[in-house]
Amino acid sequence: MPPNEPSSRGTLASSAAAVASALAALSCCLPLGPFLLAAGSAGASGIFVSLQPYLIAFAVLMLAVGVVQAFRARQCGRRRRALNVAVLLCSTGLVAAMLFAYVPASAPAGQPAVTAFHLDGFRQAFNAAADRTRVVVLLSPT
Amino acid sequence: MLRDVRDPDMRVFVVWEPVLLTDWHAPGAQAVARVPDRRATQFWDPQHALSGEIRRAAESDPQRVLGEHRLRARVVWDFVALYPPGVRWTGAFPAARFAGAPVVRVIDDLHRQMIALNGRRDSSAAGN
Repeated sequence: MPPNEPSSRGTLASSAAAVASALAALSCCLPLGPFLLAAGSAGASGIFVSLQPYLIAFAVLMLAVGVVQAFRARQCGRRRRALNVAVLLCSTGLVAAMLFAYVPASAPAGQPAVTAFHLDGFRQAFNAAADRTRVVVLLSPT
Repeated sequence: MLRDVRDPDMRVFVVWEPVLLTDWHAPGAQAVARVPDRRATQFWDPQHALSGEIRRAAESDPQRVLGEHRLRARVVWDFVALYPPGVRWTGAFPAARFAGAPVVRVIDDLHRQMIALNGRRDSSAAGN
């Protein structure tokens, strides 16, 4: 083991602790953590589409936590409050966009509403029309 | 194409699923408007549940489930299957009368099969 490794580890640990404490102090007035988590999970839900319901639910929860934390930090200066509102608005916008994207568009006139796919329900619908010709199509939206 | 098939009882199940990087959202107005036919019902399947069922069924009998289509990707998509009256889905995803992909390449064959099926239904109805 090189002789200088323990001291470099110590430096790294103390730097990390300093960054963490600075972030913690900042988050007292600016709930960056929850808002970033909300924005991050909302963004991730666009990539991991199969996890979308959970990620969106988590994003909404983090948004609520962030709002509560922001309202609690009453001793912050005006600039901090403005930054709070800006970050809150950005996070809310992103989460709202993902929520909007999660809901399918309205079906064309005369068709039933576009619904989330459930295997059992689909099988029932397929069998309910067993006396008819049926076409099943799998497509990508884009 | 559906307009040419006069069978008013026919049912079309359109299942949208995310495949491409740009598919990060449910089908929008433009996508669902591509199938304006009143006989259609549209679904959004973000978890590829139907694709998984088709894959499982195709493992044992690829020719009957997928037709000439060969699975190359993890997700079955841009795929169409035609079922005549009488076919029920009980165990595995049922074998189709006609199946294929990509849709744009097999659409003419599908159209012929649908017309033939419809004609057969019309003639059997007239005979009754």
